[in-house]
Amino acid sequence: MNSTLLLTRLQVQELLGSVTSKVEKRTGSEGALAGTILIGLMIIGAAGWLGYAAYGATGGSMSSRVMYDMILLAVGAATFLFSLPTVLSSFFGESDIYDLLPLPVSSFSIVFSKALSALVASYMWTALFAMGPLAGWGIAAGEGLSYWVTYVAVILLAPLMPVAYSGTISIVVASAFKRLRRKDTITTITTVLVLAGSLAGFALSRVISNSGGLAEAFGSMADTMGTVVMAFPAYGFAVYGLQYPDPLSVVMFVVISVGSFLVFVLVARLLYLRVITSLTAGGAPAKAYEGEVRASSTSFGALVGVEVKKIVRNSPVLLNYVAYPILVAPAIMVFGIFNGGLGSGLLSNRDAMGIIGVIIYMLLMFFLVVSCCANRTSVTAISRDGSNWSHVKYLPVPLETQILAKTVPAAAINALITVVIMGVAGGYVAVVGGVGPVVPIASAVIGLAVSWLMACVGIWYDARSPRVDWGDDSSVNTKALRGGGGDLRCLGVGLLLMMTMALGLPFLGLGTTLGLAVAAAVDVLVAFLLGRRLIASAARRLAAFE
Amino acid sequence: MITLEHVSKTYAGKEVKAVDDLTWTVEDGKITGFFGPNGAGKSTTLKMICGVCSIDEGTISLNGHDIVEDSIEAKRQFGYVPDDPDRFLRLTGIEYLTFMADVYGTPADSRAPFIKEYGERFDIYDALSSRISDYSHGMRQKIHVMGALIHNPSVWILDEPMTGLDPKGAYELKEMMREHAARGNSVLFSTHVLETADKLCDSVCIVAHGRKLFDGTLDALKQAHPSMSLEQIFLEMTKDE
Repeated sequence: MNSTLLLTRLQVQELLGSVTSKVEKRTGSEGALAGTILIGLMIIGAAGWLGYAAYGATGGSMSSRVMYDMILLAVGAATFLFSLPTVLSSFFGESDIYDLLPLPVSSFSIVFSKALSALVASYMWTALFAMGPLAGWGIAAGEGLSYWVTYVAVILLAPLMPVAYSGTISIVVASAFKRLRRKDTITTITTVLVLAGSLAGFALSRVISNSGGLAEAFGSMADTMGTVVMAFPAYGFAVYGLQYPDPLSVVMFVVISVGSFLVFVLVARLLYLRVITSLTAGGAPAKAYEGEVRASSTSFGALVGVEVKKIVRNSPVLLNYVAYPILVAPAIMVFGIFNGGLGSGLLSNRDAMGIIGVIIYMLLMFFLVVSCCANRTSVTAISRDGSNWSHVKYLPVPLETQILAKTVPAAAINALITVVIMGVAGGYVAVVGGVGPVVPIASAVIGLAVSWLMACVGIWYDARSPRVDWGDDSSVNTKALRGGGGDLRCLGVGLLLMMTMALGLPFLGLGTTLGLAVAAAVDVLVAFLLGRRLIASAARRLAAFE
Repeated sequence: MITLEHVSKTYAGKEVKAVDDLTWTVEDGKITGFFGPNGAGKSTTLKMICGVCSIDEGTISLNGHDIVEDSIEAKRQFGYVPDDPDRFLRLTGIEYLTFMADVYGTPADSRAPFIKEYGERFDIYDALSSRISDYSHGMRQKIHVMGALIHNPSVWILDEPMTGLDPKGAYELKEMMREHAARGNSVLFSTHVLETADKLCDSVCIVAHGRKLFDGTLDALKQAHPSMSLEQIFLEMTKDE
């Protein structure tokens, strides 16, 4: 047991040290962790006040159950979602296992300490969602001793079951699939979970808000919460123990929570060390090379191919810069418009579709520009190479050609975004609203011109001062991936070019259709000429960079 | 052949020259070793030769092509193996070789025989389908050597090429360097392992604090310092630097 506590203390110290250095690096000051903890305490206090106020606003035994279900569901869901990558990181992302294995400690101690370390990291969600609101609610309701005993048990043990779930799933799946143990994949999982959680919350809010009046909404919410919280059986006992003075419920909550965590530890003990001790440096090749040699491509084609592979095979980049801008942002925006009745209401008024059609397309164009801004592949095209960036200097290909090759994939992603928004949503408007072909086609052409120019602006900005003072491209570097403000410049240029749609019409005096066609031609010319100058300027900047 | 004429370089914000008035010729048909203490300007010199760093003063030409005025043609003349093999990690070995062959315009029919010969000599042929990120350090070094040589350049520039190579890999690379020089081509490499250089080099260039201390054949250097190994000569020449 001694070695377990020692190892756990080591893991927790490393975790705190890592958090401290991250906070101090971000804020640039020592002692920032104390400030962060103070802010955290203030947030808990504010959440407590909310719980207190919520009791005063609702009151009643039914709303108590809804309140407890909601709080524990938030704790359980957030802990489950965010402890998945934490467990993976603790067990597979840290290299300390190769330092721990030779030590005279039992393998159970090693596994248990890592599981405890993952658990400690998960208490943040309990502090955020449960500690304050349950305390505030209990004070407002004047709850007795049994409530507070259950409260302490919940605060101490609520994360155990969700961590047990996520930990067991993580260890079982990662034991089977080697690729899931990489840092890239852990980062990807975090991003996917955040997106999935956001979309699920968005969908749930739509379901609840569509449930008629407030009483009906509350009723459906109560049923929904009560059902979902049973995914964590221990929580059912916790909810009962908070509502009624029932010691047996509290005991069952403790037993099931601790029991589930122990099951996780035993599964980890069984699988984890077997995987770790069977790993070899470098790994065996999955498939022997069979001698196939591809037909030759042009140097430009080869360069574009490499850039595409660097994007597609980098999971966080693929998810954040490609999938998200193409799928999520447009879907939410467009869904929000048309589900809100704006689209159908306007589209039914066919007499006014001339100018209204342009306004709708301008709105779609705005969403297009914002989505293209989220595609940071161009503003990080050079920075993502990290310390490997210098290969562009010694390859026998003009720098301008290499810059163009880096820009093409980014522009292609922007073109895909244009197809999704202007093609799908714009096509819907054209068909339902009876808009003539010129407006949607001109808008799509303007969209493509804008997306090309935004890609050129992005790489021009990155070439000014690439953030390459980090390692190689095998791992994700958050500093390089942030975009450094280049994405905002892309946004500005995109919006400016887009505004030619609006400004051109009254000034040209050509009418909606002809005016848009002229605006499209002008935008294409501007995007082409300005894009060429930006690429050339980016090449000159990169030539001077050492 | 690589020709450097009065080449100087000072990094921005620094007062001391990284490379100071270096005049030097890497001749064809020879293996030339390039040595110096840490911070002597070796990497800077190699980067200027390859076009990675700009030249403040002087000229550098490769087989008659100026690296500044005729940069693209000059870059076609050499194959460069940098000291850091952690590059293009998301590509498989064969994808990387194909990329380099495409960029240098290597004819399609010469690729397969090269890949087979060098892949087997370096013992990584079967691993070419795997990603470079899965390779060990030595395997990464080997794949980058292959990538630099796939277009059969007349000038080889290798920065610390033996680092991380296993004994067989190091032996094969040294044999390749001898074969390449024997065909009348140029090999320039930097290393800190002077014992290897002692057995391999025909000519040497020693630099310290950006200035050339010696440039000539290894035999001439040893005649000037009889009964001393290359390591001892190097330490003697650089002890006051």
